[in-house]
Amino acid sequence: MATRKTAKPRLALVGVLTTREKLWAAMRELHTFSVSDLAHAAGVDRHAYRMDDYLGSLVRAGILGKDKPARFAAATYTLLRDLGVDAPRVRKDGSMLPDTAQERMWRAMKVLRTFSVQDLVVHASLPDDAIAPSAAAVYCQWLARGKYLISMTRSGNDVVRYRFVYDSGAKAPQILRVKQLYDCNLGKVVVGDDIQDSLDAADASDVRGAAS
Amino acid sequence: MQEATATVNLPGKAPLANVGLTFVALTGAINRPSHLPGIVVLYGPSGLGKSTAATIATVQLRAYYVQAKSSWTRKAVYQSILKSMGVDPAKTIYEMEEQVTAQLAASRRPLIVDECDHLVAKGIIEVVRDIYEGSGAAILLIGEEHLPSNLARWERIHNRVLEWVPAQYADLDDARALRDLYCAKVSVGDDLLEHIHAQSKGVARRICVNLERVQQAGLELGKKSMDLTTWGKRPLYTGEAPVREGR
Repeated sequence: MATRKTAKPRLALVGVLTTREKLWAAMRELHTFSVSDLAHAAGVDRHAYRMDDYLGSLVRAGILGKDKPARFAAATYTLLRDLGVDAPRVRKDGSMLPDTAQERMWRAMKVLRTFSVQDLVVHASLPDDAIAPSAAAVYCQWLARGKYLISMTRSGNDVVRYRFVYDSGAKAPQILRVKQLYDCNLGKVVVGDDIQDSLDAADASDVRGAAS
Repeated sequence: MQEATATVNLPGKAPLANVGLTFVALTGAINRPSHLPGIVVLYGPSGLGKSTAATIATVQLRAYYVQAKSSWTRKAVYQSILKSMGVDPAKTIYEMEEQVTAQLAASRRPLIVDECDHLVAKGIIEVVRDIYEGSGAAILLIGEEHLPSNLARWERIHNRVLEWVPAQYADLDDARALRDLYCAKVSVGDDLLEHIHAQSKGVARRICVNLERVQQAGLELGKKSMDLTTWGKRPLYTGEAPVREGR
């Protein structure tokens, strides 16, 4: 294998993928595809997940090309710009989204290694996407509970400072909203999101432009 | 928009010399014409805000960031970069190198290698050249004061450096900018700021720690502003070996 210079190196993300990431990986693999090809290759149920939103956004971003189908024929998409392993984060109008606040904080703390909440706010904010100190504090508390961070001993008037101790990988651990219907009478979750649903919902909230 | 975010806009207004210089140099390397080299070197003694500059570049330019360690081998370099990319690493070094260069080339994101001195000491700094040649990506190397002279021995890397950025001590303007970023709730008088700047010996990290201490003290005292007299004899963080203060 290694002797074949022409073979493309295999690039795949580690860890659990969101549905958009599965679709993107399949697009890079197929290059030219119809919606059903893509759903099949990505292992996505096209009746349960609305693929059109993401495909449409990518077309408007100029990343995918879509041919004009003859009547009743399925449209063919072509990958025009391969941006690497990460699924492009695009809004509905095709503009690119910045990384989420949690992703930026996760990256910033790896470089800073020891930091205060305000350090994170200062370093991870973007000119047009400031991070609220309260959001940074909450994220640090969660990561400290998860043993990614340890809080350092304080002296005098120092504020809380954290040390980054566990780098689990490139993707930021996310504080997820998991919606479930729980019945106390029965003592169980009757129906609700699984983790994949929640991950996809977090992804989709970006598309609507909501702050994360 | 500008008003609301001005308090956290580090490179936008470039209040910190190191951040501004590094950001501009790396942006220049990313957008360079093809005949120019694309490696930027940021060097200087520790504590001069190199990591601040690296953080800003990592966050704003979506750079891949790795910090070299003395134990690193060639393989570790590639494994670490692939981890920062979130890419499943291949088995051989050759394949991993291809993965790294393919991802850098496709994403057009820059690579930052911190503590480069370790790679120089180990004689494996040439991996950087391999990655650079394979991907054409902009690369920021960060290291200690003598990194440029050490790199001079590796002509093939030296020739590919677009810009050498010496890290600088924070001056009073930098300290004022940090005050705006770190002390939103309590105003800090110029006399106290000058005292902090002097005690911190121009090291940006210490200035930040001290500014946060002052703000915290102000909040505890219920004061809206702090100056040298209200601060009094409270200790400042000077970075010297920790002396436990009587409580």
